[in-house]
Amino acid sequence: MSNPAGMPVLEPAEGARDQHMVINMGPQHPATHGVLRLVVEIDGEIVVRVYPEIGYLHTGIEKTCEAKFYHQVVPLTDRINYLDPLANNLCYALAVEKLLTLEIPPKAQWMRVLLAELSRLNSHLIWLGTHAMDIGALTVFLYTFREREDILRLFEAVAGQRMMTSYIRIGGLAMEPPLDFLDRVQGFIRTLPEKIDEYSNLLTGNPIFRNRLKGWATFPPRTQSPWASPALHCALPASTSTCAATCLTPATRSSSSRSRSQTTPTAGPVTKCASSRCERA
Amino acid sequence: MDDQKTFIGKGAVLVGLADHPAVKAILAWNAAALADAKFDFGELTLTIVPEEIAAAAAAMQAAGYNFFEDMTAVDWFPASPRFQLSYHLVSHAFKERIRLRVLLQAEDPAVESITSVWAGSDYYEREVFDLFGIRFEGHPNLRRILLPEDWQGHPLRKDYPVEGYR
Repeated sequence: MSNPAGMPVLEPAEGARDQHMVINMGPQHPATHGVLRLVVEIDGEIVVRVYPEIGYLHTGIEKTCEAKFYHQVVPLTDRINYLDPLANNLCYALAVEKLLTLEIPPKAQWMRVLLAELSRLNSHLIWLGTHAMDIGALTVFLYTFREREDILRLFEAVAGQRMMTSYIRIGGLAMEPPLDFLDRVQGFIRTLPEKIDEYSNLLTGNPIFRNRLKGWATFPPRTQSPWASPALHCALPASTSTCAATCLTPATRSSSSRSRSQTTPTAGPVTKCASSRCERA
Repeated sequence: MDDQKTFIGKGAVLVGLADHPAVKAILAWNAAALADAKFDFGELTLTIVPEEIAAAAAAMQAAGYNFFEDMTAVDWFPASPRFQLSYHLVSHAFKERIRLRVLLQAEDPAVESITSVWAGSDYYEREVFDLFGIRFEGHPNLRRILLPEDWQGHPLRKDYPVEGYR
């Protein structure tokens, strides 16, 4: 493959079979989770070439930031990725605090970790539900969004807002969490492993899910290939493919198998993660 | 890595971080291509002369910095040199990040593409071209990626207005 990211597809490739057709998809994809335009060359049901046009979601946040004070940027960071707003708040706040060499109170630090992890769960729940839905297993969506709702209620309790929380601010947090916040989080965490088993029951042996995913788009972790670039960044902030392969998967697996049987979880080898920002490093 | 230590300037970094894998690699490759260096806030920044960036990226890749994480640009308008390119590289073996930095003049900024080293840098270079107007020589498909193809100007330049129609 000479050109990795694809050239514009305007007509079928030289020497292609007669039935090849170039069609335009979008700018609204049928399963729209974000606006995207694809120009695809198809051979019946098989996509031979594709040229993506990704600019439709670009909102120029960096340019907007140029005319704002540092503190005014926090609400914009929520909107970079509405599935994981607290992690975006956190990244921005950490960068500014690093430049200011600010000391953050321990309580705020612990709250940040807790909220960023909840926010990550939220993001992964949406991913799992919508991913399975796109593949044809609609039911999982209803289950993952049930737990997502619990997480959003926690965010509402702590920040007064469900999605665009803007709760993590430069120097700490926006306000004190409610008194019963920790109990509520613990209540949620206690019930989550059983819920993961429910997702597993729906997906792990599901022939639709397996047949449509198995062997596709494999991405070896410690690759030396020129493709070693952040293809997974959108789903996993500040992590790498290695992190995805060695960190996140065993963690999910072990929590699921722990609740099902009391035996030691036999997840894959948890090698140390390479990402310097990864919490398992 | 001790975050408290700070080394400003090429000489200080070469002495203070002589054991750092990236510093060793750059000395073994071509010390003359290193224009400046800085270790600050726990981050190593190596400033490379513009002509050598693709070769420097290849040298870093060979030295174990296998993962091209990100690249972006900064417009220091009205300072000179005006543009800065930042390449963020990660080594899974060393568990380390470094930043390669290139400074470019305001007039017709252009630099060699690193798509021959990391094919994944394709979209990043297109984004920098689109928003800053920096050209990448040897890029396979250097056209606007986010803005419409007929857009005038490069919005992330500091002399481009934040509000108003173009």
